[in-house]
Amino acid sequence: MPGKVTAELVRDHGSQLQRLDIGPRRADELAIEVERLNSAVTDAAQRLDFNDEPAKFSALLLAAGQPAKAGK
Amino acid sequence: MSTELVHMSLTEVADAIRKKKVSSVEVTRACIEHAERVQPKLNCFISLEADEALQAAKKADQALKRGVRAGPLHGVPLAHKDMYYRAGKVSTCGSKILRDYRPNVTGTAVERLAAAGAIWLGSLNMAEFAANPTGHNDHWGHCRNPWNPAHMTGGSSSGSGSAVGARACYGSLGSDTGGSVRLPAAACGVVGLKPTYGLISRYGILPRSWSQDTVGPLTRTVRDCARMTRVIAGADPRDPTCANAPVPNYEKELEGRIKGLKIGVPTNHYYDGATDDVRKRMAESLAVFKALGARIVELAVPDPQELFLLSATVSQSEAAVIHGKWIRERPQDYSLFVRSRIEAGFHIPATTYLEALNLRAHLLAEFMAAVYTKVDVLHTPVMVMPAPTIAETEPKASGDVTGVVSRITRNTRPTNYLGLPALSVPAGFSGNGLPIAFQLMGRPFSEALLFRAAHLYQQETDWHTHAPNL
Repeated sequence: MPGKVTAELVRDHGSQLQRLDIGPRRADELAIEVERLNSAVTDAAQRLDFNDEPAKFSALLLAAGQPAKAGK
Repeated sequence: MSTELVHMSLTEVADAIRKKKVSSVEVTRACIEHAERVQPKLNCFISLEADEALQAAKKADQALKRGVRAGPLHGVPLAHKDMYYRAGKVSTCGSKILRDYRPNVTGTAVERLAAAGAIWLGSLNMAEFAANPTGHNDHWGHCRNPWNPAHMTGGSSSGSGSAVGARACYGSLGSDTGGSVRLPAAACGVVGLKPTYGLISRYGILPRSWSQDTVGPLTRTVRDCARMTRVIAGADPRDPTCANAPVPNYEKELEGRIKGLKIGVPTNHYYDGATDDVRKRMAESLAVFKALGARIVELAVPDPQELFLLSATVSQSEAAVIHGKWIRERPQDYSLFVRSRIEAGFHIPATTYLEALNLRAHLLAEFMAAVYTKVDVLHTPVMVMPAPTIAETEPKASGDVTGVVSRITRNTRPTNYLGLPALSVPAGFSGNGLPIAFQLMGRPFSEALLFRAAHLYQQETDWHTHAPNL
């Protein structure tokens, strides 16, 4: 079972990779928020395929676009 | 006379100017006087450019005398969220950091409005860096709701909602990344469009989240909104995300009917925690659509909470890049609220961010299949409660921010992740006199249909004609 994001991880990541000094209390809050977002994406990512790329989204929006014709 | 003028809609006043029943100078002067009267109560303007606006109005009148009409907004005073760049003019973006920022480019939407003859009346208050759905601003002072100044305007286009609602201008550009047009439109009793991602150029505006930012108008009527949208929409080589597709004549499309239109009402998420006032107004508005010949279809929609979290992952990651230098060098110059909203983005792995982007096509396809094969539009409350007070939505500590944001944007943010259009429409008032609104959401690039349905609703109701007593 993977571990949850911890305040220590957030503080170390901030200081070593982002040049950010984060206090212990704020690191606690950020750990909860990062865990929430990261988990949501990781769970949803089961849908992904190796051929995916971000530009597919705009292509689909255009393809699914409809001129105004519904309604009578 | 000046009171009558400010209560006309954008299209009414544009037509009156065109027919020379009233001059642009008279209209602009009426707006300036009204704006100066309401500004101490509402703080909706960051700068009111009275002299420049009157000069422009004078030129518009002279042009009309020569038989020259710039376009469908000739001589109409508009004011915009203070993040629409004009080369050489200050755009504060509601921040302390950009208090004196003078961009060297002009936004495409601003250029197109000017080309259509609109007058720039002033720059409007907004949430700092467009990053706060309450609309509060610690640097420029909180903007106030015209229906009750103790209550929030909604944000981030706070000044746009407040000024249009207060009748201090006829329309306004806002921007919507997670609800920032629809929330102030709903809270202030005006119409607001979050367009399909790619319909309107984002060139020359403050970025909040490149992948989800949209430019949208706030107006008093749907017809006004249709006119402004037609003027600013369409391909722009300076914004490569902008679709290269023809723009319908939205105003002309209003004239159709909606007999047989299938309106979906979600059975999950969108009514969770809704107040009795909101439920009642939603039911009343659906009854109007039914009387117009629409069919109401209840259906479960793909989990909006999942879409909400994926949207937040994208916007926080992109905001951390946009604000990285300033957050490291001058964090004290951000408000607690905005800094707190950006910080998590520094700790989201790049792979997670890219997965959230790659998931958009999958989730859009799932949503289209689950919803838009069954119904033509979705109808939901914009907010599940009337606008709370400013005091209730003021975070006391950084840990409070996520809760405030989630509560206010739960019904708006999912749409931004999917890139779909949504139109906020006034639907009446709460027991304590605050506006309530529904949103109509549709397929990609179905703005004409949303406008038509909402316009027909406004022909049967008069909520959009109610003005606050200021």
